[in-house]
Amino acid sequence: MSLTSSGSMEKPCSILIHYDKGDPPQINEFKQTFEHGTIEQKIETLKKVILYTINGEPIPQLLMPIILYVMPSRDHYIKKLLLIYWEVIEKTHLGKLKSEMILVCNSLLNDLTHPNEFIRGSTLRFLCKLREAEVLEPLVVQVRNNLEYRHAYVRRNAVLAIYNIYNSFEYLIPDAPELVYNFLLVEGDASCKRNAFIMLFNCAPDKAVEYLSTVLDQVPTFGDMLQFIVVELIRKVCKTNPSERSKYMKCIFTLLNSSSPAVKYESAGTLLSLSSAPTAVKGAASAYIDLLCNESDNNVKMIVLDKLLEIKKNHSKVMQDLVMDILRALSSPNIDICKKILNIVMDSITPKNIDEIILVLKKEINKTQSKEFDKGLDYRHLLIKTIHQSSLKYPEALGNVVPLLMEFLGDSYKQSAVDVVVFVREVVESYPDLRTNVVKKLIDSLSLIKISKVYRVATWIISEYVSCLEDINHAFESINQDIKDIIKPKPVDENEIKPKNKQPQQVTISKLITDGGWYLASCISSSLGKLYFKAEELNMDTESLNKLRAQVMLVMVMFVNLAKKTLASTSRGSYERIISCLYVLSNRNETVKEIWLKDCRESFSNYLDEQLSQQNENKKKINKELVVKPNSIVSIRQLKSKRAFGPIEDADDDLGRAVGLVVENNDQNDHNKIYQLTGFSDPIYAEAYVKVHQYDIVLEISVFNQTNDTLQNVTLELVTLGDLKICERVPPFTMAPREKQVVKASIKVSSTDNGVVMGTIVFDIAGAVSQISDKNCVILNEINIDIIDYIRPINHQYTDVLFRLHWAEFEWENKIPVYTNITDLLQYVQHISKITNMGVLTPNIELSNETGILSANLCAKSVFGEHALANICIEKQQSDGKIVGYIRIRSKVQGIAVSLGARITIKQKVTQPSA
Amino acid sequence: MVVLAAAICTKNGKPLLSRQFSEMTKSRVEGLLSAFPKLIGNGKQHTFIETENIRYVYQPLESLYLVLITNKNSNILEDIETLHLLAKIVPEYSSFDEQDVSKKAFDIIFTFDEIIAMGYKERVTVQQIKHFISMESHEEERVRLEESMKQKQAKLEGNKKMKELEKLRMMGGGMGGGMGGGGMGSGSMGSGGMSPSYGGGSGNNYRNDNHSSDRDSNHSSPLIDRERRDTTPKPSSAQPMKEGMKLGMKSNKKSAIAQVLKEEKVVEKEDELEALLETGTGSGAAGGSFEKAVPTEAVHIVIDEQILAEVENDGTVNSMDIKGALSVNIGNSSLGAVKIAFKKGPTANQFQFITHPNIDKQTFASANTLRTKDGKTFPSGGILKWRCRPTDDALLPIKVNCWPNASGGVTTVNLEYEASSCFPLKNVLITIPSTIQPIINQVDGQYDYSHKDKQVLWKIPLIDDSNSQGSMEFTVKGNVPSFFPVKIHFTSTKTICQIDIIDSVIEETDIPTPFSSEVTLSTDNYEIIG
Repeated sequence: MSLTSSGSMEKPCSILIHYDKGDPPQINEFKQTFEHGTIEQKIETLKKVILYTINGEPIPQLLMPIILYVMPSRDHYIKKLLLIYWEVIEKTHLGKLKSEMILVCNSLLNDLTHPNEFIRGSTLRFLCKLREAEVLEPLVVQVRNNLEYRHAYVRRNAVLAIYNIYNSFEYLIPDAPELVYNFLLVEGDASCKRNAFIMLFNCAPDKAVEYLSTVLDQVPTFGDMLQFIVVELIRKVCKTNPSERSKYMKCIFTLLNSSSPAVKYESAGTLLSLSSAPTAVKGAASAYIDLLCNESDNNVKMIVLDKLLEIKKNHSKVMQDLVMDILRALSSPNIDICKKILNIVMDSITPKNIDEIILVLKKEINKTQSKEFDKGLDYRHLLIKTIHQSSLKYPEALGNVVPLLMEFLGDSYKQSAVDVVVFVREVVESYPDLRTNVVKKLIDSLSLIKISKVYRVATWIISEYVSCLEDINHAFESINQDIKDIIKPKPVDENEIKPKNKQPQQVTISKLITDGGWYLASCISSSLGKLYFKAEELNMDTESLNKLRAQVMLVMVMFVNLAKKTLASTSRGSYERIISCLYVLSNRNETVKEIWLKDCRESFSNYLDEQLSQQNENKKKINKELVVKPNSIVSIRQLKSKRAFGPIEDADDDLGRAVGLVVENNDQNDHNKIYQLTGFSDPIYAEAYVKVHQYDIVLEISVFNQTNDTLQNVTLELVTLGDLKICERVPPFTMAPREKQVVKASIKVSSTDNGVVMGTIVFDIAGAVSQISDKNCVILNEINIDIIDYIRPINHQYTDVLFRLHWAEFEWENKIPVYTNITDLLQYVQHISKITNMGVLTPNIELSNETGILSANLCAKSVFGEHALANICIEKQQSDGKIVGYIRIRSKVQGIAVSLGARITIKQKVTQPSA
Repeated sequence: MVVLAAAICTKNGKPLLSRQFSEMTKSRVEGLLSAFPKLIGNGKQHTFIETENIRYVYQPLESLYLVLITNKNSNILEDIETLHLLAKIVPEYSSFDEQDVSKKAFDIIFTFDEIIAMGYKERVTVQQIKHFISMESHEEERVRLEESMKQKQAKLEGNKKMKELEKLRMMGGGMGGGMGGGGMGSGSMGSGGMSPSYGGGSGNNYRNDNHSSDRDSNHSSPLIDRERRDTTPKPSSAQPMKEGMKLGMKSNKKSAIAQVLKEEKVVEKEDELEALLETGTGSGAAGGSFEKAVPTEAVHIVIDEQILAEVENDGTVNSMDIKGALSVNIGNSSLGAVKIAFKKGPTANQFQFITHPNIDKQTFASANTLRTKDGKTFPSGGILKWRCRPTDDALLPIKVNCWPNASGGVTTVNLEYEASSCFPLKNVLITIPSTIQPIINQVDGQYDYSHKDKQVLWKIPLIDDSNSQGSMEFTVKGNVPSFFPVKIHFTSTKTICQIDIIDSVIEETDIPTPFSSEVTLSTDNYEIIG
């Protein structure tokens, strides 16, 4: 009994309709309607019965009334509904076919010879889903006859029926491949042919190949439907029998030019799996690019781009030749698509094509400046970034690019402006020959800058790389101009500032500072100071030098005054920094001068070097993976287990995983737990074994009868708290004395939230006079469902930008104080990462261990697609070596933040702090 | 490669319905669907999501989502097309509203089934799907019609019998055979030359309008028939004949009329009229078809359709032309203007109809009624023509395949015909050119070899449901290069256009007037070329 209940759970479900059950079914009423109702009433009731059945409440009592009163109806709609009804009901009882099904079988037989072609067709379609050989057996002859029926509708379903019957019960139609083969030879309808081909393809590949080789020359003239499946067959054949490849290569190449985009796409994929010869790859890539440019659907573009990315990974040479074609697709208005395109382009740049590419990108940038352009600032940013990165690779193009990019310094969109200025900084450092021009241009554009960070970096660059007195003066003047509102006495008068603020909100640097941009002020101060030292270095005449010093110091003093007035928002650090600048200037301290003029630049170039080497290392890592070591295992596909196939090539496996057949190979033992549900002295002892699948939890509950009585109607009632749902009730069962039974209950989980399953076991003791019900009830311990099983860490693909974006966006925050016996900062973070299954995003956290403070970002995603972010800020106390600090968890929904928090609170202590 | 499931769910992830095309467990489907809305990001301009193992392709439908779940290797172009088709067909059956979708769930699932077969997309259009779902089938209609005809006939027969008995009773039982007017035509033919005068009699009716037109305005109804008989002035002369006729008893309208006419002695110069009939109908048609002897009424409608076709042996239609014409003869000008109501068959939409300029086009198009514009009588000659040039062979009532097969100095020819079952075909004659007299191995029907024309003649007198397929095989010595063109002749009393006259009504009085019709379908030139 327990077996059937567990069996039904694993059964495939072909149809799902939502139904608010509400009341239990009115079985007698239904019976009455079936017996006496009108056709409409019967239809409605039959629908209800189906709905109940689908939703886990079968009504087997109604099978007979339906057979008696509904089945004979000639109404077409009833006939179709009945087919669904047969599909969903339990057709067996205790492993044997229900005898009623013989009657059904008879009716099916009649429908298979029905003059209405659609009834025949639908019936045949139903037979595809039937898995009861006893029912199918008498129908086989008619199914075969229908292969020759006049209407294509019938024939095409008949072929599928034969396919499925043969697939499940080969002995029923042992000659099916032969039959279908002959059918295929004479059939004219494309759909029928296709279905026949599918059948051969799956059941008798050799036959399919035989057919294919007779018609190989005609394939290009086939309809797209058939071409499609031909391509699939070729892929399969070549996989099992690679020596055949050359035979089909030509065919695939012609299909690459098929007028049907679907066939084109499929052939390109097949071609790639067949061969990695450059011509083949190029052919496939061209076909993809063709689709990319000509298909209007964004989804198609995205997926095609993914394919191209894959090609790029393995055959970058080929892509380099095709880059220009890909760029054509930039005309798409979808930013995601453009992003992917630029991504591909960026990696495919060579000295040969860089000029051309930059030209196209430039054109695109110019386009973004026109008013009616709708892809917006993001896109411009993206382009800037691309140009930036590609030109850094090949500095020959830089001279061209930098002036162009610098026009965007004044962009009010922060990211692109920042990107430009960072780019400029890098260029100025790495390419000394460009310095003078760039700095000049930068000084000219200072007044356009509207963003604090950009201005900061710009002044830094100017003060760092300025190389002649003229420029120094010029720079100083233009900075002065930008902050003139602060220096001139006007802004000191508060009455005037206020009305000014109310005027159209023109963003100026001075306004940024008065609004509290003290960090900016301090940066300007230090830059000015540096400018002064530079001037000194360049041998400015003493008079002007002193004048400059006075002016610089005036600016600083103004800052200080302003800061004092609005002390509330002054950041202390910035304030001190300005003061120290003042001090330095007044002393003309040589050491500081040394630091400012030399060390700054050195550390910057060190930073760049570091970055470069890191990039190279990453590249090396990627390259390294490609190298096959002489002692590594040679994989022979035929010898490998199913799971070991590469992800691109293996379609069967892909399908298997998609329908959830392939069990994940993870070592799940860690997650599987046994819960004791009752006490040992209870009349029934039960324990549950919790198995976690992707979207559901299966409780395997072992129930032991501890008494010497037979227990009847043992009913396991489960109730859930949280976002859990019981899928199917466990039917009542009977237990012999001292018997053990295993029942399964599956629980659906739909979000990451801690859930609790509670329950009771109620039973009757056979032969006993009805007792007080309390005695026959065992209350079960609750089972806590752990969310950790649903959380997967994210380590890569999650940039800081994205993290910050989400951090700002997510509404729920859970702040947990650190309370742990771990004394090592790094170890603590790793421990948290382990207990919460979250991935650590912050790179090189081990570096901060020495400093005694640590900040790290963590991130995870649940299988339901919810993100969870965490930030750890901890400090090692000098006094006792304990770690103090907070962990903040943020998420979009409450559940995950709360439950992760709870988990951390419980588990952040380790029992044995490992060495 | 394949679609795993097609579903509709709400924006919160409540699956309203889902149809799976691969075997999946319920919890997996539900899980996938409830995870789906959470995966949809904001502001994305594409509508697919990929997870580790599967891909969702979706389309928002107002407050709902239409989702396809596919594996990741699935062909996105196909899937998008499928999705669009689904999105087009769903609103034909339901609005995009949670409750309505739940209510119409079954209808929607039926459409899903038509579009996706085992995960593969079917090439179907919205129109086709609607047709599939409506399940309207000619075949079934025909079978039903046949059944109901049989029932009616049985009923009619029953009625006749009843009347006979009644009459007998009224006549005092002495009259013997009664008035049952058993199938005169068939009776006479069935018994060979037993009573040639009957055949003549029916022939008489054929052209003898002035006799019947003035009073026989109600012969079609058996009830009135009886009345008339009651008032027949000369029952005595009719009775002896009727007794004889009872032998070949088979009641139908035609013979009943003939019977009455006979009774009333309207027919006198039989021989003369028979001769007239022979020349009038033209003896061209193969075989003496007794069906030609259709009795005529004051309003006589002739429908004539001809097929001209050239078909290749593999079934490709090179050219095919079906032409038809309808003409009305008003035998009695005193009737005045008549309008004729007709019914178009299901294939009629493939035809182009042209009406005579005097015909009111509006009523023709809107009310399926033929009448003149100005209330005059119909012009003589055709008033309605139709034509169709199908490009496929669906409309051909009979298809013939010829497979010559040369081996070892002998050529074996297999011929096979397949008739579409809605057409009973008569006098089917298939001629195959052959310079050498063949040896016939097997034949359904009769064969002949014409030395004069060097042709093999394969004759099948009647093709109906019982022999809708048949074959012939013969061998010829030597390698005969060609057995083409194969020519096919046949006639039928049913047209391809299936235009049916329902009623004819006198324009002024709106009183139905009896009519007779003569329907022929014949071949002009039907060839199979190699």
